[in-house]
Formats: sequence, structure tokens, C-alpha cells
Amino acid sequence: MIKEHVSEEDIQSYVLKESALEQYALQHIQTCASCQAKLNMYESLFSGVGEMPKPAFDFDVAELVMPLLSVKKRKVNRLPAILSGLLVLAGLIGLPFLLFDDKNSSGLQSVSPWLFGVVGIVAVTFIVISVSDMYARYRRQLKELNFE
Amino acid sequence: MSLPFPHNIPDKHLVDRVLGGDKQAFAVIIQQTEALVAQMVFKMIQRPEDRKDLVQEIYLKVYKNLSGFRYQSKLSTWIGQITYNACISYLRAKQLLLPGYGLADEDGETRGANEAVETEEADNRIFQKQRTALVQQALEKLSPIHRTLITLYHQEEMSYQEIGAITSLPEGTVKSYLFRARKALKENLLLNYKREEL
Repeated sequence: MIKEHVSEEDIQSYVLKESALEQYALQHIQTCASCQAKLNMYESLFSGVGEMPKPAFDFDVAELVMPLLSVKKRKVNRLPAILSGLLVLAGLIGLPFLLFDDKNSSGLQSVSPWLFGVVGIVAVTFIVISVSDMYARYRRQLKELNFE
Repeated sequence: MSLPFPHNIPDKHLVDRVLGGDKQAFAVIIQQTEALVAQMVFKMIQRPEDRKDLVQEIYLKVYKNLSGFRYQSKLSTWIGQITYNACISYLRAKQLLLPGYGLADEDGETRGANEAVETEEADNRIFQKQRTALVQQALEKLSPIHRTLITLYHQEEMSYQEIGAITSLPEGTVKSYLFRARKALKENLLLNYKREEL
């Protein structure tokens, strides 16, 4: 028989069924009063912890917290509006250069149709995004006020 | 407070409702996590009058930071993490964090056979002498962190990984802390029994 005691860590793991013990360790426990006592002690201890009553607050947590909550504001995604704004800004800055460029003596006539198209698309995109954002905000506010 | 929500609502649904302005959904979150928060607060904070303020602070923090919850863990684990950090901050502020085991670290491997037999007898009698009360007393003597780890593992049946997420400790450290906590708890229990015998 192996005289070396089984480590406390192994006994804990065995009682918790986290790992199995080697055969020699099991044989040792059967014949060693010290290890047997530790094993029994841990079994008793873990059962005792499991049986302990769970604590509970002597006040209503929801009633305590709920009046202190402000209406949650969802973070508004401003990225589309910022991008649209930048596009329009770029268009506004670039437009005079195109219209009043010395090389383009004929002014507006020299502006190619595709450029008008690009500027038009930017403008329409900006309007669509702004309107959809306004509508989403309106729906959210209605929801928060429980009108829906 | 009766709530118009069924049980076991998915975390995402609840969080979305709160973020959409539905305060009642937050009451459900409180209801579903209150037991875990109570376990941790009771194990870490001894003064009953401080618990109320702390719980209020914890849930307000949860509400404020809810939009930052990324579903990388269960909502209850995330709230457990906030609870743990709030309790640790409280203990730090009160300088109560240092562990006071009140126990000499005995080397169990070198005990003699007589002590082993004594332990066995003690163990048997503990069954008859309100084991739960004695375990509770023994648990009180552990440090707040060890008490909490024992509770999360043995009462809340959390995995090492979940406890690691709550405490921000590596899984190996959680295992090691728990081993030491259980050992200290066992020694405290024996001491309690011996005191009762005198």
C-alpha cells in the first residue's frame, strides 16, 4: 500500500466529481483514517454550503431603483447625417471652382452632365437620409410617450 | 410588483426593450438578477445599512451602461461583474479588503492518526449539530472574496469560467482561490466544532 497521503486538492476535486482519483489513491483512502476523515469532512462541508439559506434583501429592489431611472435615450447614429453633410460641403466647395474656373470661359455650359448628376444624387441622398432619420426619431418619441 | 413579462425572456429582448425606453423591462432584469446580486452583496458587505445604497448604485450603473453590454456573456454574469466591482470598490474605500482568515494554515498532510480520528468523530457529530449553522459561521470568517467565490460556486452553481468572468480573474486563479477557500472553510468548521465542545 502507498503510504503517501492523497493531496487535499485531489480530495476536493474527487468529492466535487471534477476528476477521478487514481486506483492507488482510492486504495489509500480506504485504509487511511486521516484521508478518509478529510474526504468525509469535505462531503459534509459541501452539503452544508449547499443547504445554507440564500439571502434576500429586506426591501424591494425594483421599488428602490425604478423611480430613479430616467428615460433611456438610445444613442443616435449620426454617421449617415455626418457623411451626407460632408458630401454636400464638398460639393459646395467644389462647385465654384468648376463654374468660375478661368479655363472654363463658358461657365455653366462647360460643366458636364455627369457632374450635375453626381451633385443631384448627393442632394437627393441627403434629403432621403434626413427625412428617414426625422421619421425614426418621431416614431421613437411617440413610443416613449406610449402613444403607440 | 407584478410584471407583464413571461419567465425566461432572452437577454437581448430585454435589453432592447430597455434601450427602447421600456422601464418595465428593467424591472424584469432586476427581478431576474436580484438573487445573485443579493448573494454577492451579503457575502461581501457586512453592514446591512450599506447594502441598500450599494444595490441602488449597482442597478443604476447597470441601467446607465446597458447600451455598452455586448452579449459576450450572460446578462446576469455581466451584472454580477458590476456587483463584484462595486463591492470591491466599497471594501477598498472602507479598507476592508485585506483577508482575515483568523486561522493558522495547518499542513493537513502531516497530521497524526489521532487527529484524524478526532476529525472523523467531529464530522459525524457536525451532522447532528446544526451543520448548516456551523458552516455559516465558518463561512463568515473567510475573507469577503473567498466567501463570494464559495457562494458562487457551491450555491449559485456557477462554473469556474463564469466566476472568472465576474471577478476578472483567470480560471486557474479562481480554482486556486477556491481550493484555499474550501480548505480554510474546512479548518474553520473544525474550530467551530471544537469551540462548541468546550
